[in-house]
Amino acid sequence: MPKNNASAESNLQKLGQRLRHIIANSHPPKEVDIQAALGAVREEWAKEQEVQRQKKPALDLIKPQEREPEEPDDNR
Amino acid sequence: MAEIMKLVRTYRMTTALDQRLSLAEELFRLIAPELRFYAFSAVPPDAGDDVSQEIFKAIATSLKRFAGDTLGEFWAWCYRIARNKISDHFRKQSADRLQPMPPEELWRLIDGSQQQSRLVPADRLDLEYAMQLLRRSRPDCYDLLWKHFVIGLAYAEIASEQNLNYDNVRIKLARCLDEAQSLIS
Repeated sequence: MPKNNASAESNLQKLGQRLRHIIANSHPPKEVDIQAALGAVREEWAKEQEVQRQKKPALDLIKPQEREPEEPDDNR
Repeated sequence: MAEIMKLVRTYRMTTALDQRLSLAEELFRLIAPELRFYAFSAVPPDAGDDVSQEIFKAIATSLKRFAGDTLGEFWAWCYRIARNKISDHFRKQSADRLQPMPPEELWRLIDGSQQQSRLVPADRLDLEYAMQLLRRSRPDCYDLLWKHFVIGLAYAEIASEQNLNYDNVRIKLARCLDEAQSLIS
């Protein structure tokens, strides 16, 4: 029997839900996936720290006399 | 789902490693089921775990740089990464480009799952009807119907994937649905 668009859409969505259910049961998320993601977070964090470390000494190397004079204090 | 964006925003502002790890863990537990479904529906089952893991790693690596601000943008960004990883997989296998799951494979999965949870006859009829719609569709329509209704990608996500505009996708999908139905009735 012909169906209307709404029921055709809902049947396709029902197929999606059924497949989600099947895949979630047959291939459940594994702890190793989460750990792999967390490993990538650690690596990214370490890279950021390294970039920060490389930036910092460059700033420290500027001799005090080469730095721009500080603005006079208005209260003085 | 609002929880996802809260975690993403907080993650981007956080510098401490232990806090980032805890936010990322919570986030990945929320998004893992959808992304695994997306991966397993696109690659052979024996490759699904590896591809899913590559997707998670890539998302975790770039999360700090994600520039969007809405849940829709976040999912679109995740699916873009997932598509790239799935394409990488097929490139390595020298296989075809990303294709939706073929109908025979779909039905085999559904039939196989009946041993765990039996379908009531009305649901089985609905699923058979959905399968017929897909089977009768032209390949480009199968792809669209599959992505939008079965996988759940929004019009905007499909538009960005296929370099179409939003309205083109919406109109094409409606036509595909009408056409498939007319071939069944």
